[in-house]
Amino acid sequence: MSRYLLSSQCVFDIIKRRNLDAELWLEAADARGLYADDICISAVTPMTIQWQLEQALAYARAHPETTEYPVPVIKEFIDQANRFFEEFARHDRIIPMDHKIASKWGDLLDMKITFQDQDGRDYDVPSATKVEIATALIGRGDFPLVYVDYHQDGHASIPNLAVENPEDIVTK
Amino acid sequence: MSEFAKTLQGFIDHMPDGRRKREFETALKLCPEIEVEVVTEERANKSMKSVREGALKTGHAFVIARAGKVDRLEQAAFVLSSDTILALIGSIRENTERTAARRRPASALLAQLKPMDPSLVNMRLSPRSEEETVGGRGRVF
Repeated sequence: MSRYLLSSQCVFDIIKRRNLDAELWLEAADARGLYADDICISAVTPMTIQWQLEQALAYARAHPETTEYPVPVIKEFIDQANRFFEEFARHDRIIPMDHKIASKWGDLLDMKITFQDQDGRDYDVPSATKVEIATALIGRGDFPLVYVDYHQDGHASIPNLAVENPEDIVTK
Repeated sequence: MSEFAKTLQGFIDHMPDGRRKREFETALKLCPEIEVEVVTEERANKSMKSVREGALKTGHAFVIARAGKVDRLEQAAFVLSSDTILALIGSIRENTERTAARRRPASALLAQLKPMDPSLVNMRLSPRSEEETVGGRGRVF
């Protein structure tokens, strides 16, 4: 049975609980025989999400008239995100960086990997995402993890990376 | 089902019904793909060094069998106790047999989450740039 590593964007969407594809993937996981134990996140994912929400919170406080996301909404998001991370931490499913993952991360740092944002603009994959990918490639106990992430052409340029796109599973 | 699981299944099928059998069946369900190669005793005698090296290199388990295959316990040159085999499976998958009792469906992760404001649907993570990273968290640095 394969085990899975959720990308930060997928975790971000799951926390919203708005029936986005990543959440539907998680719901469909039961029917595929997956257990909560089979699903992990990288140690950088809480940091990535907390940073994004802190940026949004700072903006909302500085520009209450124009912000798209009011302070109470962001605060609720932060609380819900922290509960979600606690759940993973309690069951030892946040995978820290060890020397093998660090070594793989070093390989990826030397690679130019390009993803596209929602507007179709190219951007270089940031180092935190490369940690996630390195974590999926090394996995746990020498069993690599399947990286659950929305489609990016750049995934194909990463040797040996197994990717599952939640949209594909949900469509089926 | 991996070769390892298939090999064990033959023994488990002949075990009397009981707690031990159920433990095995549960452990095998949770067992990751472990490939096992069955080698004849003759080959093992001639090339034990290469068998050992192969096991270390590939991570495959090797069973040495007198008749080239293991379908009865007495044919196995080395017999592991059921405790040892369960411990082996458990150590490979983080004490699988103990965690089996508290496994929860994947969707249980959603149980504590409530639907958030619809305006958040299109909010996406943006790539963190170097300028933001340096001292990005003012309260830390």
